[in-house]
Amino acid sequence: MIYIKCYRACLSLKHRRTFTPVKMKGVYQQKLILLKSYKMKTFFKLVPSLILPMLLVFTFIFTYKGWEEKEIVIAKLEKASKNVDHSKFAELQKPFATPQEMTAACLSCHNQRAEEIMSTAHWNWSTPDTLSDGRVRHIGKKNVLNNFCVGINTNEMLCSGCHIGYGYSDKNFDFHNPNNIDCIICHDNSGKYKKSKGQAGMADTTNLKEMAQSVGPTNNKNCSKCHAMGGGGNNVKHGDLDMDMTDQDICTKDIDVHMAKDGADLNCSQCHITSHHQIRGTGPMTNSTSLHNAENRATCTECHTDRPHNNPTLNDHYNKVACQTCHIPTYAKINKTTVNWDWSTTGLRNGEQFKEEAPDKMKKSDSGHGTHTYGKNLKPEYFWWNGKTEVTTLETQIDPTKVVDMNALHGDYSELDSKIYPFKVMRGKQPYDSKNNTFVQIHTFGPKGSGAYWSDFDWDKSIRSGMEYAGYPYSGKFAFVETRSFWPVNHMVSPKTEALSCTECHSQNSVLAGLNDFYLPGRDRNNYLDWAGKLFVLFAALGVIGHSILRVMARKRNIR
Amino acid sequence: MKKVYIYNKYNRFWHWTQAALILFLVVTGLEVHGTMKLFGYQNAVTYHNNAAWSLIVLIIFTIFWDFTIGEWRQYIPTFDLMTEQIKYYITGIFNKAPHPTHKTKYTKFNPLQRMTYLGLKLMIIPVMILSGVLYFYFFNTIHSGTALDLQWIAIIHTFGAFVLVGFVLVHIYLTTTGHTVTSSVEAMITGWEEMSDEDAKYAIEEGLQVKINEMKKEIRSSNRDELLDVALRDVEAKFGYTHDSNLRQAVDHSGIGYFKINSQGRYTEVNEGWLNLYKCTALSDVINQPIALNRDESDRKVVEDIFTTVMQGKTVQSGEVKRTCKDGQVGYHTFTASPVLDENGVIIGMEGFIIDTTNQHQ
Repeated sequence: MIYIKCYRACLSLKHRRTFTPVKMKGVYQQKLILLKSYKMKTFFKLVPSLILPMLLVFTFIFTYKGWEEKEIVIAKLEKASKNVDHSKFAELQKPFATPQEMTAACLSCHNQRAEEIMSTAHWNWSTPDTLSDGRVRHIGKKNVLNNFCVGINTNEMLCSGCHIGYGYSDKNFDFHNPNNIDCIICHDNSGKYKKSKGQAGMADTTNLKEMAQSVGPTNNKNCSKCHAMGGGGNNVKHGDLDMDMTDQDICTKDIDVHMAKDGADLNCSQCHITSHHQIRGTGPMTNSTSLHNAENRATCTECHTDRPHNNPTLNDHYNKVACQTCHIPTYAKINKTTVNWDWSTTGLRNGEQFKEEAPDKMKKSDSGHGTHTYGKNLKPEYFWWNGKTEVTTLETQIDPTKVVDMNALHGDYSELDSKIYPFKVMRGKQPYDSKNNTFVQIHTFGPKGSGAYWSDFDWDKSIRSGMEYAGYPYSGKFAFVETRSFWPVNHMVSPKTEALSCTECHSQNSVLAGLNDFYLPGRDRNNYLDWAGKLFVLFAALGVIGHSILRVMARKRNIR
Repeated sequence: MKKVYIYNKYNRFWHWTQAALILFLVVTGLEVHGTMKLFGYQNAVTYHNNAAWSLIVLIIFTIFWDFTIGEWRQYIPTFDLMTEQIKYYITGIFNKAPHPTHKTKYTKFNPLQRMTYLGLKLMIIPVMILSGVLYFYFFNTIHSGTALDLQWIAIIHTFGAFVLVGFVLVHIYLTTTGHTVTSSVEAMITGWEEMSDEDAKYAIEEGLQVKINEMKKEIRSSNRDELLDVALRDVEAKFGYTHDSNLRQAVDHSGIGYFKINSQGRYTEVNEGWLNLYKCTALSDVINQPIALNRDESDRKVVEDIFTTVMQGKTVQSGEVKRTCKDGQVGYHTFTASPVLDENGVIIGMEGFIIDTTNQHQ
């Protein structure tokens, strides 16, 4: 009570002009402020409490880009300073009559390498594949079908032009003879080595000594010779593997940041890391449900880590989106690629062979091949994929009423290890056994009278020959079925400025329109909620407007 | 018409920062939702996240502030005057009726506001923050173990956004229902709200009443002696003058020693002069020490006798006594000792003065 009395005494002093208030807690200060005559605070008085904090907060909002600053590791393997000079070796000084003799000379020094080679898919064109029920089967180029030239059986003379061996002319090829290995096709550093076309991979024998002396590490040209030229022409098969990518004048950073000289200038084998001749990276066309095959991939993350952006939200995309999806917005950037092969338009016209080509060269037809449609600067199509595919062989039962997927992709949103990948989708129409509902092996390449379609132009003979050779039944009835195959686009990575922007997926006209098994912000919304929300806001606004009109009217009435 | 201080600085900072952040979140959120285009999608997402983190920090600070300063009481819901408040908005406002509730620093909100803001604080904002955090950390939370997708999180988050937009619209409109159309907004900016004379008087009186109540509570809960001292010192400070300060100065200048001993026979207070006479340097050497400090056998007995006498209610005025100083020197002084009484007249100690007589003794 005394305290209060004291304060009252103090308070009574407020009338004194000489009195200067001392900062004290409580009533006294409050009273003084309340009685102080009010002055509008100036702008500057608001600066410390309102404007400055707001400026700080919004500076933070507009400048802060995330807290992930990770260094991007670019693996650039040291190239050996100087390769072994094979031209100095005594073993390679003699002329070689046959390519097999040359291989024997190679193996006389590299004496354990033949075993390695002979266990690779490059040699066997077949790898063991463990099915989900534990059965092991062998799949590979030998027996897997595609919707380009369909399959190799009966056509080995032509197809094995890309085999790393000599003389793979039919299914009786001796896969156990090490001298049949073609070392030079991968190790030629002169750029002059040639396999003769249609000769089962036999080498041009004119200058074998020089070839043997010019060997060295593999380079981009060695690999591209087969992998870019597959399907019968440059870039036609994959769409993202082009012979011109090995040409430093044509391949700029805009084409492929990894292979361009002004880019990372990488060799194929720097990503497709190779150990004991086992090369990392298995194609999805010849790959199946096998875990081994699905995991044997060369991945972006080996160099770039799985959180390479400094924006955490971008990095989170890696959970569901493959790097390639954003970073390869277009493929077939240099040369055209085949997007459709229709075998059903084959055949002679009035007993004569025909050949047609559209003026823009994007469509081509002839008696032997049917119709090819090409595309250039294409946008990939996007699908969920967990790395596994369901390959098609002559045993596979198909449903011809639908478009048949030659390598159906496994995975969807609900699978935690599935991601969205970009694909080149190859479409086509090819013969199948319309009674047994299986695909058929077509015999295309061969001399007249052998049943080869490109010589005899008779589908029934061609199929009969192919199926007999492969050892599968043929009912005698065939028709053409529409097919699709999926070729993941992994090369032709664009500079980061060209990567897909957010709104190419996160918008109403999303490139992912086909993948609607999940909620994608910006593309998807709940329409009921949106309408309800808009109505709610509208009613609030109408209420506000109505109430204010009534107030204005009431005020006028009151004034009157 | 008067202006009354209603919103303090933190209050205003918090309100406007939150308002700006929520509006900004709505705009960037609509862009992420695909409704409009403004900053570009990636920027919109980044800004939205940054603004959300800023808002979370602000809200945590504000909750802390609410509880330390007692502001949380503003949000205690009540049905008192609720119907009156609703009636005011439906009819009264058109008939120039007075506001049914008063706005003061301590009751800023009317019952409707209390309900709405409490709902916002306990329902909408936590739901928005939780769904937003789940949205942001979707791949580390929902999607890491199950294959559930974003849909329900997105729906809840969007629903909350619509509610907030509706709230903001009505909220802004209702600011125009103050004393004048702009008085509420102006008050939120400057802190000073324009009011009718009657309202202002009420607000000021309530302000005072609250402070007095707080003071009373404080007095009830604290030590009276201390409070008296504080009050006296405060008053002295205001006047710049005290009665006993002169006396104290006079005693100090004279070199006379003053001492006070409690009923246990321990020193509770001595002055500068006493310390000098006993050659002590610090109060801590003496305070709480027994009366027999630094005395030899015979002196101790004398002193204890005196203490006993005084504690029986007698005043002792002694002749010369011997003292042993802290450094071992011997001095002489004369002294007085009288009992100290509490307000009920009970003896609670002894106090007195000593005057040095060492020179005369020699």
